[in-house]
Amino acid sequence: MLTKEWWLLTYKWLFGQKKAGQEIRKASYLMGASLWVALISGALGVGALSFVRALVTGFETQLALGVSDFFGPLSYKSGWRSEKEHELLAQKISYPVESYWQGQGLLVGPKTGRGVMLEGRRMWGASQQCSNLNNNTNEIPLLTIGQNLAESLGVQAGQNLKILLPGLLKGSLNVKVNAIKSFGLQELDARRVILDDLSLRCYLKASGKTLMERPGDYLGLRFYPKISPNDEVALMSEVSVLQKLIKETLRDAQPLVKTSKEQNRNFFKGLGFDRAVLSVVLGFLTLAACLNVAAALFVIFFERDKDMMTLRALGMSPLQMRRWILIQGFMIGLLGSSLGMIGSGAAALLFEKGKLIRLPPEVYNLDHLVFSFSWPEQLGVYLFGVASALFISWGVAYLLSRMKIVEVLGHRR
Amino acid sequence: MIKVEGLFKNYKTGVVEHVLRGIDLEIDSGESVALLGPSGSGKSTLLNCLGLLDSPDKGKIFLHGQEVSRLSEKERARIRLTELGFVFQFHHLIPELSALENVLLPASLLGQKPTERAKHLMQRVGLEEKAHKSPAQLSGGEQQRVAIARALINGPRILFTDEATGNLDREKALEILELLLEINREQKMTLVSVTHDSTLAMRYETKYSLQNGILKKCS
Ligand SMILES: Nc1ncnc2c1ncn2[C@@H]1O[C@H](COP(=O)(O)OP(=O)(O)OP(=O)(O)O)[C@@H](O)[C@H]1O
Ligand SMILES: [Mg+2]
Repeated sequence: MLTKEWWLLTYKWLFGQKKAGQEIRKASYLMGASLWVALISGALGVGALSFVRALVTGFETQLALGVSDFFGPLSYKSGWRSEKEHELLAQKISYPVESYWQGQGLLVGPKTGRGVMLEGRRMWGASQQCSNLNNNTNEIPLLTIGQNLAESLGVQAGQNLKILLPGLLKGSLNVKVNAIKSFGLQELDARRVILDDLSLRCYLKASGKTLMERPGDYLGLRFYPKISPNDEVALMSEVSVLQKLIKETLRDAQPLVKTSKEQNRNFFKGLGFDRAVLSVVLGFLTLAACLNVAAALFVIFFERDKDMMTLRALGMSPLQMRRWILIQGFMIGLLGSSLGMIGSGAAALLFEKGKLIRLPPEVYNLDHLVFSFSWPEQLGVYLFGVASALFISWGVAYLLSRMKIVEVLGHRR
Repeated sequence: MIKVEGLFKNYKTGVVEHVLRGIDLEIDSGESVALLGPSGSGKSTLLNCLGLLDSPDKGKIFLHGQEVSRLSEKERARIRLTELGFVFQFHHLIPELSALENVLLPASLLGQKPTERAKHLMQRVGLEEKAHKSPAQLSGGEQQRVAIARALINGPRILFTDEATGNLDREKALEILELLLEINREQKMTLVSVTHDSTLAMRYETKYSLQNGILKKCS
């Protein structure tokens, strides 16, 4: 049993003031330094690991928000329109549902023209009647476009553009930029356009034009439950609810309902891979840092091998000694890891406030990075740091507890 | 009571060195015993075996009737902690701790803090004034006195000393020896001392000499 008294003595033993006239231990300076080196390098390892995880998680979270903002948290893709949609509609889903189609188009603005991927969307449940649409069937179709596209077209919200929908429509149409959004990914912000399908159809009807039905233009449904795109668990349970509903109502035997992340699987997979690689590299770094803890313990204890063996001679059991060293390694690990986490948090704050990390604007359209410290992840990093220190000091403890008392204390040496 | 039967100990450093070649020994409780012999004769080796700091290759050691030479290190540590005391040629005090804290160290291994007893022991070895000094601030003789107090803190039944006075001048050595013998008599505590000084050894009740690995009782 190691009591409070014992730890007080240990503390004095390790950090005690050197009194006048006292022999200075050979490596006392080295020892003091190596303890700090161990602590700092442990802290740096854990800090770097925590920082990078928070960065990648924040990045992913932010992009997932953008992507989900565009695609909706959940989507059902079928490629054909079901006759039974009214049955699904009758299920009274408590959140908005849109049906959508996709098609290529050309937008012409004051500056230039751009080829875009157009997505026509129509909200369910809202009035499907043109007459109810502001009573103004001459109102031109409404667009939501990304910021980059708006800039390159030279258009602002509220202004009009011309659109060409080859294969769908003869000639061009006037459309109004209803909203300009930023989704975070250049791919979405520069190439994708959301078109209000109802306003389009009403406008066409009013102007006597018709849309050529193109097979495959209908794609599916977008669902907007109030679930964070990063809450995978809630999303997945909603997916199974929807799958069941769709099976029953739309008679699709194997309905594919996907989250926005799944729809952009390749991108998020790449991100996940980056995170895994970084974590492995930094994990090794942390382990290496913990070797410093070992080095420090070695210096501390081997330099004091006479003291250690005196304690053993006085009756300290090998187990007691092992535990004693282990607890000290544990304390260093605990302290180092805590310092690392604090440092990582501080650095994240600094980077976020100072907007110090710039992303390549040709890929990402994020103003700056937001760090996200997720509990389980950061706890894992912290425990990893502590466990590494513990593991390493176990090795030191094992070696030391195997030292022979008489060989160290014998005055032959 | 200590009883030793047919103790053997070899060291292998290139060639095999037979240090102890069949030691038989019996020491009564409360007896004071001096182990004499030339340098390298194996006195420390024998004492370390008796004090459970080292294990013999062959033979048996009984402490108060218990066979101890084949016990696990954990059990031997426990016996050292509660039943045995050691004073070495070098005091082996921990320099960062005060004299009193050094004395308290073995007790804290038992989870105790008998401050009064430690102070009393410091007084007994004549150092009550210097309890809070660090070992470096004490003279060689005083350091050995602290080491003696430390050896006594858990109330051992046997005290082993190995050249405890070897680094001191004659006068100081005699003082320490007197102290050890007084404690031996007062507390009926067995005292087993290694020394190569035969005049000092005269003060002990029983004297043995170790030569060529064999122990002989001196008359
Ligand atoms: N760890 C060891 N390895 C090898 N040989 C050893 C070891 N310890 C002791 N010896 C040898 O055993 C012999 C006895 O040593 P020991 O220390 O017991 O002698 P001693 O009587 O105490 O001598 P001194 O009076 O000088 O202290 C010596 O010859 C020594 O060289
Ligand atoms: Mg010796």
